Amino acid sequence: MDTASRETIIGNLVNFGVMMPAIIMAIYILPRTFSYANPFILFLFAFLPILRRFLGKSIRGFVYPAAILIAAVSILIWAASVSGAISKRYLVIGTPVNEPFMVSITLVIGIVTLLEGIFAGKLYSVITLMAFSSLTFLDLMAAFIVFRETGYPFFTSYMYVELMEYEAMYTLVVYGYEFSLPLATFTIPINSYLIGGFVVSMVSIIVAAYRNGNRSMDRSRSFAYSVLYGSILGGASFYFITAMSRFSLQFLAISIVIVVMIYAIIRTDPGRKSNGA
Amino acid sequence: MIRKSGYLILSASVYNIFESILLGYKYYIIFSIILFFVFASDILIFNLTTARLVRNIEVDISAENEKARKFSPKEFTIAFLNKNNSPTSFHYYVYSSDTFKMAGDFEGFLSLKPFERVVRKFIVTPNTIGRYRLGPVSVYTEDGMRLAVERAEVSRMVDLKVAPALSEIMAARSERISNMLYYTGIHYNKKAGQGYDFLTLREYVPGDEIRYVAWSMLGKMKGDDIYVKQMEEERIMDVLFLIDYGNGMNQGHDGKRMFDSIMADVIKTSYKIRKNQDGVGYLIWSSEVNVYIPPERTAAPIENLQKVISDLRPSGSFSLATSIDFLRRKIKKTTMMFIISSFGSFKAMFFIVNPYEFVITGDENRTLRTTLFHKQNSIMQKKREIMRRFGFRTEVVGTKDAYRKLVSSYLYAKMTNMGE
Repeated sequence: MDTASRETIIGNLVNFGVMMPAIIMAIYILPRTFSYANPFILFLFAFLPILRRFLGKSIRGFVYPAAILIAAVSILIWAASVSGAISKRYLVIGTPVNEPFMVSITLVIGIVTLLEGIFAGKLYSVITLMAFSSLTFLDLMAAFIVFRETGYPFFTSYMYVELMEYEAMYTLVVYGYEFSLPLATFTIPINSYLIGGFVVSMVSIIVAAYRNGNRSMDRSRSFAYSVLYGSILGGASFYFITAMSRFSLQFLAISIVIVVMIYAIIRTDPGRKSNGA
Repeated sequence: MIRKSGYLILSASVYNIFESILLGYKYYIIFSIILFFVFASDILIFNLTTARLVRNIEVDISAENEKARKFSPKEFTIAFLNKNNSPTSFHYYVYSSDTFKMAGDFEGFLSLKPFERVVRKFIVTPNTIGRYRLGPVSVYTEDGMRLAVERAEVSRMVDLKVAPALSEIMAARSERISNMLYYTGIHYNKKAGQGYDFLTLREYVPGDEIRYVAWSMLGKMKGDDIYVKQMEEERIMDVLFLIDYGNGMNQGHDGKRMFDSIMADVIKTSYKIRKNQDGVGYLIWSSEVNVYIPPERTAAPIENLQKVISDLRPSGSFSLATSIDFLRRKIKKTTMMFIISSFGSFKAMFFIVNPYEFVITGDENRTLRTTLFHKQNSIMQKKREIMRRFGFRTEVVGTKDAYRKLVSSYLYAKMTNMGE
């Protein structure tokens, strides 16, 4: 095996580690929600990240637009059939816009970002995709937990979780504190696995950063400090936010934490003065 | 300075925090907050430590002198001095022109101990004549995750005056072949006429000027015969190259530019002219460049030209009228002028007026008109083809379509006019 392909495999393995929380959630949620999704949309998009690897560079960029076009045409056929513009027999190849379609879209976003994250070349892409993938699967997990706990139909549970999120957003902005939290109300059955997944993800990010920094010791040293200080500050901020939530000032607390950190970054930029800023 | 990746990852982290808080899953909230702080701390620590060290790196770029010749490698030295109390690692690269081929350590990665001095060498091979700048040296360093970068330009710029390549301006042919190629058939022929050098005597014929009568030879042969002196015609001439050095001559690509190529040929031609004992001079002209080298029968103008063009680059626009006006004031005697320009801003279009349209009318002249039509038509087409072959847009116009063609040509010219 040549050095380049070995490096690629090691890189993919590290990415796999970074994506671990999303992978654990996907393993839990996919078999349980598969039957509620539209199979055409799911299969059309789910394997695209892998398919793209085997295609030439010239057509690689057209894979997602082509799949979106196929889905759009299928939806148009369905709409035309329903409205009577074309014969009803075309409904077989049409994709209805209904609840399974919405579940499929959520699943597709999770799966595609998960697989793209594993194959991504840049660390920042992996982490960004991990965030998107994890949050999408968390949404579905919340829906599934509500479905299991309450006995509502799955689509009702899905919409229930979405509405709880919107309500939480509204109350967070208007009152400064959320009243309805989908995942705080119910217990997550794979809690321990997910905590392990977060730890693996953090360790993998450190490994990826070390590889990213040309394996240079002085750069790794500075990154080690940032992991240490980041963890301390992160823990302190979490308790600060939790404490402030008792006074309905959670939103203010989060904003303060983020704004202070970003302000510190901007103020300490050595290029700021020389650029006349 | 935060990189695009840094902004992206911080935005994703903030989104992560808000979304996780909305979902209310405690462990994910902790994870996302820690992630945000790890990335933010990485940039913050970089800003407070590594980024500040880069500005204390002293870099000096130098060469033996600022003169260079095209295609001749020239060595440069870069000296780095770490003025920090701590070890500093950084990348560096030298800004250069696309006309330079760079080799050696003009870019790289260095780790310097406190107050350590390191010297690196690199080679620059220019491939176009003119004055160019090398540098400054850019020094940059990144954080471990490559989310931020700090860059500093830490040296002065170095001027490089590139003269034409010797291989291009000196004829590679041997003297004998050179003579055979360039002087066969134009050997010096004596010609009688006005001048200062005596050529011969001939017998007087009525009408000859009295002042040329050779009184010392009066009556030498027959007793009453008169001879006049014949003087040798002055045949030495000056050649003046009027060279457009405007932007229109700055065409071509890496290693093959219009002004560069033509200047090499001008210099080669000048050496040939000089060899024939004729004078050669130059006017390098544009709205921004105005260098006049008066014609002389020595090699000095050619040497001077080489110095001048190694310190210049084409710029501005060229005007034939103003350059000729300038020369009219400078040139006092007969001079052969060679005008060299791409005539990039010279736009012309020809309209050939068809005489057939103006022949006599009436039924009685029908045969004449038919004959003229066939004859005139072919002549018109030939004229048009000739003009088009020279690269000019040409139209044959008559009474019916002259206005239409003039207006449409004006609109076409307006549409395709890209400005100066």
